[in-house]
Amino acid sequence: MVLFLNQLINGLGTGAIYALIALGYTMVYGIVKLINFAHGDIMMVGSYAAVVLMVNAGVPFPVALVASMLVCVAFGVAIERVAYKPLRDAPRICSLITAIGVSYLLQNSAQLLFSANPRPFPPVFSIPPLRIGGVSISFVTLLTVLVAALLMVGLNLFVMKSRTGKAMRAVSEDMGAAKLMGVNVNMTISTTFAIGCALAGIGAFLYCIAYPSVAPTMGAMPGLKAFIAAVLGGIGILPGAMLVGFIMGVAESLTKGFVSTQLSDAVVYGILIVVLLFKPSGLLGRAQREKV
Amino acid sequence: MNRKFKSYALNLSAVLLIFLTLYTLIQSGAINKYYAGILIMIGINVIMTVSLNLTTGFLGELALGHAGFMSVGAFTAGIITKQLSTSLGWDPLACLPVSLLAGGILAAAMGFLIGVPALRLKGDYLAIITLGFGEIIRVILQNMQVTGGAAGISRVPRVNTFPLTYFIMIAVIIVMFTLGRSRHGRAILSIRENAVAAESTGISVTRYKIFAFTFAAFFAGIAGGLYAHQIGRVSAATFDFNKSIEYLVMVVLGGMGSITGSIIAAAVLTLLPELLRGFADYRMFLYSILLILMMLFRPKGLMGTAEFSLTLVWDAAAGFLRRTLRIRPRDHTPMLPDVPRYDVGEEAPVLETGRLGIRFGGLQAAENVNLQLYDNEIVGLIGPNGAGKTTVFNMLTGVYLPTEGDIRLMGRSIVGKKTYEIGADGIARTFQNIRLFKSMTVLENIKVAFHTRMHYSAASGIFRLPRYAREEAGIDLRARELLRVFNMEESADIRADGLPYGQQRKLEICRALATNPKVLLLDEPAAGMNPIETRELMETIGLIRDRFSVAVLLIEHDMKLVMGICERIYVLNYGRVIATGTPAEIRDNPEVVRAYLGHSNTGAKAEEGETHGNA
Amino acid sequence: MKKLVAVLVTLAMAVSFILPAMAEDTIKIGGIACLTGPAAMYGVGVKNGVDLYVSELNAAGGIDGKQVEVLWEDDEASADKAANAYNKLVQNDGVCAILGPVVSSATDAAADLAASDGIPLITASATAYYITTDRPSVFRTCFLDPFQGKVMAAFTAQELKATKVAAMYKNGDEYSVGLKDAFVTEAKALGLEVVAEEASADKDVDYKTQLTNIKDSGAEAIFLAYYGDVASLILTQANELGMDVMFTGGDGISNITDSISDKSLLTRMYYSDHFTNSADSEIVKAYLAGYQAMYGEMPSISFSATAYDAAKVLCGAIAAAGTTEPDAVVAAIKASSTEGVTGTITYDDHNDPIKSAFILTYDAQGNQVFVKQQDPQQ
Repeated sequence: MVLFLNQLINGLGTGAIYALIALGYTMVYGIVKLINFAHGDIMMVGSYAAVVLMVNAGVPFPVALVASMLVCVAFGVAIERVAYKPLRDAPRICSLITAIGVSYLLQNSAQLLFSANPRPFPPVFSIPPLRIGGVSISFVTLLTVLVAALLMVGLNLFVMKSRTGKAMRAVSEDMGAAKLMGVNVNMTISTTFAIGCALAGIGAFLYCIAYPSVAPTMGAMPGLKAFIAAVLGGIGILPGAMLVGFIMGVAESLTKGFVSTQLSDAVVYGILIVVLLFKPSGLLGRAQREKV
Repeated sequence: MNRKFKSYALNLSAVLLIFLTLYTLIQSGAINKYYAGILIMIGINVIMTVSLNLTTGFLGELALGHAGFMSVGAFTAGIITKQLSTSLGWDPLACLPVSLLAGGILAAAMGFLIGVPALRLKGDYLAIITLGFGEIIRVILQNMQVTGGAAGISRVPRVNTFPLTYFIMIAVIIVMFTLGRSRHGRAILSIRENAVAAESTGISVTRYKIFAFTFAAFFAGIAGGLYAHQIGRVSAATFDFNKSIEYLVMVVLGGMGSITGSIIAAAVLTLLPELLRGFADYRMFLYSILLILMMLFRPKGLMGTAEFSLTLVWDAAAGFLRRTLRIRPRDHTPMLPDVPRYDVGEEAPVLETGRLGIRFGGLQAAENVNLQLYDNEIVGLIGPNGAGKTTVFNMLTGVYLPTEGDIRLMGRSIVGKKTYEIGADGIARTFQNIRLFKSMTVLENIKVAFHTRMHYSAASGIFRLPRYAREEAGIDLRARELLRVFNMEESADIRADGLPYGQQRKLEICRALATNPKVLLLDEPAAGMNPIETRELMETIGLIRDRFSVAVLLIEHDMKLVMGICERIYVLNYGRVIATGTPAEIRDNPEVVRAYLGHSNTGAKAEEGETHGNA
Repeated sequence: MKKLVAVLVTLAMAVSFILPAMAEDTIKIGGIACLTGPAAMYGVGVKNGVDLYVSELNAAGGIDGKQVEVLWEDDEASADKAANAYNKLVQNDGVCAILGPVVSSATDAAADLAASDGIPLITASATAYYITTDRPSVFRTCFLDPFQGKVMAAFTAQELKATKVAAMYKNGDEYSVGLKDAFVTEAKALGLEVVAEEASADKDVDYKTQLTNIKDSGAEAIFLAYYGDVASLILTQANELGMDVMFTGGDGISNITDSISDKSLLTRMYYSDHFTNSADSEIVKAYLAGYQAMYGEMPSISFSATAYDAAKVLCGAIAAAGTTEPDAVVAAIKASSTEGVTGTITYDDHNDPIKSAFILTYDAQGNQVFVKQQDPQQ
């Protein structure tokens, strides 16, 4: 039982990281319908920014956090303007390919700048894990779960209630109609990217605290997992993405803990496929029939 | 010279010429092992890209696990050759046909497995499935004893040769071309263009999705087999998600749906890293920038959906020669037979519904609808917005399953049948918002609709057997004929989305007729039309009555049109038939007038009264 | 007319003889390594080691007055790129021998080609057993996974006095799985109880689940069949879970200091390596000084040293054979005994070096500490 609880908590820890990155992913994915393969790499950029600021420039942690978020936002908005905006009317697969291109570009630029060797992330907190009986919960896990939940609630409120949020949803439904209704589409999409990338910046920080190693390819795996969470949660549904993020984390952890560490990836993907077979529009997505 | 023969002769000689040139150069050593190795890898990658183009380009589904099929083929073929040559002492070269084929078949089986979930999924959801399957395949291969676990298999006899790769590649390309130009290829394309319309013309979307996935996987398996015998070792880690993405990039850069584009892109992108060897550190950097620029400036890829045609080049060159040498081409106008009448000859109603109704949750969208349609009759179905007209159409075509009542076509119930089955049985329709196969030509749009009237198999289409030739020749004539009836013969070879609005409507009707329907359902054909276009539409519908033996059911808001051409009219309101009769009777029916005008006056009260009144 | 043709033919033949003869002024050796991509640090380390030796050799006059030139090609750690690189070097550049590749799968592909061409190939880093099997022209200067596994299992039993051990490895990674298997087999043979074998996937960053399983199994020592970057994450996470265990590992661990921030955790880490910075032989001191002078830093991985030795073995063999003719060079390598920085290298029937392993650990500041030398006889 203790073992099970410990593994469950391990799963929640990784799940919270997936969920956090998936939130930013879903913002962009839900509103622009872009499979942003570069999202994980934006996170990588944020991590390097943080390392350079904290280790090389000696900037204190809160300042570094804000600064690296700003770096992420700047990168995200610039990338959107240069690489995605011109392709808004092209088939979706075109922007998918540019996203792959941007992803490679960021990874290889980082490799040229910082080499392929991973760099250690400096320790930020030295708070001992919470222990209840035989169960221990690390501070980072608690923090990540909390931050992910808060951000999810906040973002959901923002998207549902605020003026900008409504504009975002309008753009998502029908870009042309939104424009006619006086929504500044370019501004709205830029804002979406800015928020998505700021979330990647926060995600980068928590990721690095949990796994203190920064490398050029570090964004690939979280990016992929976030993509899966965003689709499986139901396109554009923030709580769905977060839920799937947690489910993936827990499924991975429990599979590794009690089934097989070798086959865990296969088992987890298998679970995801089965979920999709029963919920073909995602876990929280409503079944949508094409109107005939 | 026969055009078809010319095209065969030209392409065959080009294939042989390229082969002989390269082969001689390799044999003489002018192309050394290094360059020969690259040529072979180009061949393998061309097979991979062309096959992925079938699922991603032609079928239009994003596939993120194509490398997985390649690994299945590579392992299967590698293991079989190794076993046969070491334990049975076979000559490795003799094992190749067996092992390559086995690799292809096993990969195809995996493709089939992935295709099955496609029953329910599409778009990004399906993409996730392909990604997941690709990863599952990799993890399983990495943990099996037979596949050598993490190390993979080593020392597969390196017996792959340039001629072998070249001719298999050519075979795959030819198959893709011939498949693409058969009824099966057109069916796959039409699904990409508009799945709903494809289904309504009698094409089983599910079956063709599975078919495309299986087929593509088969070729990927063969490519994997060649790879195993080229490199001599296979490890599953090679065929990860990134490898799949690599092939996807090749397909998109070449142009989705263009086989020539895939060939060029695969060749260039295989060659590029070798050319950039000198820039080791910056190679990937340059590649990523190239990728972005390419998409920004040429989003449709190198070739778009176009194909390079040697015959066209030849014709252009010959035309140029003729002009300069002043040779007159011989005059030959194709002979077309007269338009046949499609006879049905039934006295009983062609289509009949009995107490048809449907309920969505708490909403009764249609109730107790009784319609009768006779052959050669034009019947109107009118009613205010939201009256349930399109719902009735959707039930008739199997898009919605009625919750009560029956639909009988030629006396037989069609309730519960799939849309494509009903399409094949004889109910054709058009859509409120035009659903054409936009990037296909006008003629191809019509040919897709002939799908169910052709019967040759995929094999017969791929190998161009006599049956294929016979049926296609017949269909070509009949499709052109049909266009001629509607005065659209001139536009036969232009893209459907290049037509003016009125013509697009006409083409949709034309396409529906091409399925040889007994009942034609027209959903607001005059919507968005100007008066001139509407007049033309009336003529078109009149033409249908005169020339085809079909019952027409017409939803329309344009009362002038409805009253002008319909013989009988059903009026629908709140999902019920509130009146039926000739146009004159309907015009004077007080209940109809109330239904159309009563809303703003009496509002909810009228609604109440109506529901109770009819109960 | 006939005369003209004859003159032309003679000229052409003369040119074709002279051109290679002119090239003979330098001896061309091909180098294949993963110089880009995630494994680049190992490829670059190997390249550095080779380049260091060759520059020293050339400064000292080369081989019989001929300068040695190493032409490098990148294989991105992939088998098909390694095959291309091999063919390019041999076919286009006319190299007489190959140094590298680095990772086992790439080496396997290049070695297969080299074996059928009879071209000598020495890898400095491919530790999988089968690489040299039945390939007379293929050699290496590193020890093998089975030997490493044996050494560390014995060390765990005898020096760390552990009775229950666990092993962690990367699923689908040839080096990792091979090393883990070797360790587990030997540990069982020594009577240790292997209580857990935990796999991870490529690019994983979370190892808490596996560590929780191991914690539950009561292991006293964990064998890490990983490179340093992953091992540093595992050490950090084990610490977070409050685990009181020792860690052992193979040669991949050697770059762990680069990626760990809490250096004090390293005192729990013991690993076997090809080379130690702390050996006080002259040749090692000269190597370290030379490396420092050429690259401005100390070598961060031991493959630089095995690569230095690989270059030394090959160049020595070419000098001994007095020709670059492949068969003669292969025979000379087979018969060679080379005083390298990783020890004396002689070859057994399987073309593997008979050499010692060094067991190393770290102090709390992350400096390497020599523990003991394990000779192959044991």
